[in-house]
Amino acid sequence: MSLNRIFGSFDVSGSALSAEQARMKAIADNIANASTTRTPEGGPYRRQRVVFETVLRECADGTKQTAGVRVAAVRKSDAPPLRVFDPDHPDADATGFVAYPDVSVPSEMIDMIAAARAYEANLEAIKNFKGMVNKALAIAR
Amino acid sequence: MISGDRQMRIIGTVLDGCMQRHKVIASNLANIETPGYKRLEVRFEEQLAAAVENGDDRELDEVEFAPRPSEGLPVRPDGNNVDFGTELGEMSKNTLLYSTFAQLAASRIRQYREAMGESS
Amino acid sequence: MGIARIGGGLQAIGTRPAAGLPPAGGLPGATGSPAAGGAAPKPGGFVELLDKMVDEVNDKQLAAEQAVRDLASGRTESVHDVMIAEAEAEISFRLLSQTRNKLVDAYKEIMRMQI
Repeated sequence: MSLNRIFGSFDVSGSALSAEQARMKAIADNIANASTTRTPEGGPYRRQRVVFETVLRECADGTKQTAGVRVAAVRKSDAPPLRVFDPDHPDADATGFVAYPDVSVPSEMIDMIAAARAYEANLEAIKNFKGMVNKALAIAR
Repeated sequence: MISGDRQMRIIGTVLDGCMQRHKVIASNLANIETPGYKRLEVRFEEQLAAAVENGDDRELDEVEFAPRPSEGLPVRPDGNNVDFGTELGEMSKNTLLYSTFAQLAASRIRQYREAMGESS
Repeated sequence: MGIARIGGGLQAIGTRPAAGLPPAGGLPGATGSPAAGGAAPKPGGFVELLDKMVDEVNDKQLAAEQAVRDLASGRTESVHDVMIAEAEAEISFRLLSQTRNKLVDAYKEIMRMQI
């Protein structure tokens, strides 16, 4: 395990890439199901949110060091669904309202852009680190 | 003879500092959307400058690179205070600093080698 | 400073060829013991300088080896430290080698002179 730690910076940035990817997947699911009024577990689709958490690693001297980020949980939203009056809809209830997911596509798109940007930034961090290591290797060439 | 080559040790200290700093910047970028995360930084320039000025080798060894929380940054509603643009800028600066000093180390080594090559 | 001292200095460096990597574990005979003749080197003398060079090369070898060990065991993450240590070890060894070669040449020259 020790030899892996030499290039630990990659792990930090790599963990962020995974986390942002998971986030983008959740957002994509939300967008794809923005109009899903019927799900196997009953009721309309519930919006997904990822919860990020800092990963802490214990060092040799007992102090904690941040070692990246991870998805702590993927939560399904508890928000009440949007009710739209549409009595002819197959999923309309007794009062003629249809329950739609609480998903705003524009809002999800903005979120998607933020996630993509964070992904790119962490990719940049990996490239930078690689460059630094290569410069170090060139010292004794 | 490069025994205790002070120049080299100064270069080495800068390289160490930049390495540590990159790890911290990487952590900041990884946690840019983590609620409650507070930006960390590594600052060694002042300590290094003092050690270089004083000409004290021991001080050079004592320059430390421990991450510290940044101060005075605006905090967003989710408790995070890492700013995208700032962080990317810091990363570029840091990488450039490392590359520069790695280059200096390489040149110095090359000079020594050439000096050896000539003296036969 | 006599011929014996120069010869003793040469023995201190050992008869390793100049080319190739230095042996692991530092140089042989680098434990600080100078001329095999047993005579204490004159302070400021040439042999003493050689002793210092041998010790220093030894130190640098050990430092380089330690750096590699640290990297392999994960105790350090800085690649540049290893590279710098390796380069310094290599350069100081080469300097020592070349000094030795020059000494050998000078010694031979002097031996040729004597009747």
